Amino acid sequence: MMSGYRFLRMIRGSLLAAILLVAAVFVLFPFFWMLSTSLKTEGRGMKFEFLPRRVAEVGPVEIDTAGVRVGEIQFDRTTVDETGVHPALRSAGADEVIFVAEEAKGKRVSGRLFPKDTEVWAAREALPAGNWKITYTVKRGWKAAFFNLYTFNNYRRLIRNKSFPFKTYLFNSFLVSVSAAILTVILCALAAYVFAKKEFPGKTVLFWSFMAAMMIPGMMYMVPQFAIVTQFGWINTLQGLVVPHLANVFGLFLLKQFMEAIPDSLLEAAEMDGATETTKFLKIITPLSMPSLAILFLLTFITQWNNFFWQLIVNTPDSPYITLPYGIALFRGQYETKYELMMAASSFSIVPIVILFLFTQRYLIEGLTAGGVKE
Amino acid sequence: MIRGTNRTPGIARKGGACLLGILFLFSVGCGGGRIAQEKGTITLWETYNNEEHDVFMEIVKSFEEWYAKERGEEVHVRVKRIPFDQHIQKIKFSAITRTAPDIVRVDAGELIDLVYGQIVYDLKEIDPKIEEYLSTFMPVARESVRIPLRHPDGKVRTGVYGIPDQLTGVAIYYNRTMFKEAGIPFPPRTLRELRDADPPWDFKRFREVAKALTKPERNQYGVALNSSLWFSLPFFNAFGADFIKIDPDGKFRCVLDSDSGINALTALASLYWDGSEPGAWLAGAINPDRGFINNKYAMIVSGPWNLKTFRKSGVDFGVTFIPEGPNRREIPVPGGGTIRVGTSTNVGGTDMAILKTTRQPRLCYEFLKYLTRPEVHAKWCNALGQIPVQTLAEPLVDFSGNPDLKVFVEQMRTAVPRPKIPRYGVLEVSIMVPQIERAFRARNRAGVRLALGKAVEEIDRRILRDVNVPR
Repeated sequence: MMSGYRFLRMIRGSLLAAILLVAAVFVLFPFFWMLSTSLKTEGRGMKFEFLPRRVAEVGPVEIDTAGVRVGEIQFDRTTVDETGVHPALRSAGADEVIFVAEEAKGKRVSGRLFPKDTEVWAAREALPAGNWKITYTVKRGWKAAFFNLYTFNNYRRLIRNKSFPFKTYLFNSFLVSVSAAILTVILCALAAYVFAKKEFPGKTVLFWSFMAAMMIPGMMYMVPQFAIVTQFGWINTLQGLVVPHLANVFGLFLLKQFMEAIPDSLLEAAEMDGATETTKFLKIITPLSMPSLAILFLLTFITQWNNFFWQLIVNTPDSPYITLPYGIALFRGQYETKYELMMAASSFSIVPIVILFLFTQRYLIEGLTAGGVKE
Repeated sequence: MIRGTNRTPGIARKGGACLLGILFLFSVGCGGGRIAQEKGTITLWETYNNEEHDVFMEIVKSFEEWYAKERGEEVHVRVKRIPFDQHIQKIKFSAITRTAPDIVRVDAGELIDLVYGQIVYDLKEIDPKIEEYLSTFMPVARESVRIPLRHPDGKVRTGVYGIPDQLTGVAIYYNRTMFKEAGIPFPPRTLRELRDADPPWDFKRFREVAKALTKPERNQYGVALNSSLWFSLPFFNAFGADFIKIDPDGKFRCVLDSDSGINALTALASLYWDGSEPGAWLAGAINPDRGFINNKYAMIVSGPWNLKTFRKSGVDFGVTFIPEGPNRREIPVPGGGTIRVGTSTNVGGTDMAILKTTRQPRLCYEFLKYLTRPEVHAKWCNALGQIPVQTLAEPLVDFSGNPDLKVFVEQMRTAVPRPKIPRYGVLEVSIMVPQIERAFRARNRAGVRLALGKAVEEIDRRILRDVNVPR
């Protein structure tokens, strides 16, 4: 027999698991939506449709069999014209297509269409002249139904599109993000070491001046930074994209706080063994700060990976350094957005971040829990 | 700790190699910058989508061939795509760094910002007869490039700052299946049908239909609205509300809080108060386009850009006019004559502008004129299913395969130009959207009056004060 306490624990555990599951679904839903949209056939991206349907009803569409097109479908006397066929009827793999045509005067004709070729279905018999409203019932097998809703074409179109050099954009994004992340970590680590472990006149004032700069909204830096980049002739260059973001005050603060926790006795011991400043920094400070360095690397990488506006203004369309956020924005027009292609490009764009997380998660957990344990 | 220390030399070596690599890339990455202006070559930045870009490139090629044949000179048009998002900022920044192209394609509402920034050519300087050339354009398209500026003498003069290249506006999309289920006849699809409609397709009828189509138990609503100014302008226009008036001393003044303006916004908000509109404009709600595709909203206000998307999604829809308001006007129709109707719409689209940094303004102008030649423009409209800006192209455009587009073309005849003031982004996002939403939430006419009064006050303070500075 299960004791009351164990039963209560089991109930509590199950409840907690259920809550976590709901929270996980909630958190992961945007990711699921992005992925499913990227795999949907054109025009279906905005539909709340995730499960394939074997039987679909299409229409009604209005046609004038006397030759004048009323709706978007052209149905001449013998066949459905390929140029005007309703998209749902252009589906490969349908098992059966049944049509019901109703005329304004009440006349009703129904029948089966036959596959004209691998994709298009056509009527075998002519409809008498008149205005008809036709409804189609399309029946498919599971496989065909699945591929009627989902496709890999968006990814293919993305990679093979000549006017959209996706691989170049991806490489440039990677280059800019990695360069910015590495250089930011180096610069911030050096500065943080000095602020954490050295004494010099005006240190506190200087540090808090830097901290005060963190309170200024990022957009305020945009114009002066842009002016500097322009003066240096860095438009359309890697330097223009990377250098203005290297002096990261938040990074300095993060690393300084972490380095302050490293016991001074370690550095004193190293000094007594004859270690130089460089040795102390490289052999003691850097390895012990690795979790915080990893966090800063990751944060900088993600920020630069998603940075759109700076990359937009520093690159002209001729630039060899056009990046992925700029490229993805090309799918968003004045009024319409190509959701399926945009989501396919976005799905690709998160891959490096996921890989980076996988490689740095140990350091991240160490970094996040570092302050949680008191000795 | 020891483990970390032991790995340091490896990390240092790898880190050093990375650093050297980056420094190398930085050294070879130097250069770039200004766009070279070669004789006979012009650079154009555009924001077209993939399909439009492909058709545009064909037209560019035909221009180069035509120019070589007609003028005996080789020219080259370098076309570069930029994202539509933030395109005005991009152009402004490039003008500062002298990396701007010769021609830019800009949103019609944002061209004014470039004009106030004094970075685009007044085409009257290149061709004094430009007004004559534009006389064959759709009036509202023509108006999108004719921009008045207040000069130091206090007088307002109108310049021509571009050539319209795309025209768009909104009408009502309706779900035919829902209409049929509710036993409601389809609304009119031509201006003549609108004039003769019985019962008339006016705002009263629109409100009744929206109520009849609302079935909250099925999560189905009669209409879905957008709270932006641009999407509300057709209703303001149909009610005869003016936006800006120019005083005799040349000062611009916002008059949107007139009785007509309050009536228009009250009528629009009443759809939400009735429960026929579910609050599609609220943050996080299903937006009108998405709800329409998923058969949740029976009617939405949208433009021709959605025709293809809606068709592909399989929704059974039709297009009709913005319901009539009290502002009945005589609308000229092709073939002569006029039709008196009370419908109206807004004006969107894009213009091509020549930047003052160009060294070849005449060649740029020739190219823009070529784009809007009737046969060239008709090719563009036929390939992409777009509304012609050049009326001479209209007979050459085949609407038979796209009857819904024809409704939009008819609706555009009733359009009223949008307010010709700069900082459209501020006007829309920071001023009008919050106040329109405030009016919707008010649930009474007094609240609508307050919201519009506040909007006018903000427009005067944040936009018109600067506009009234002589230039």
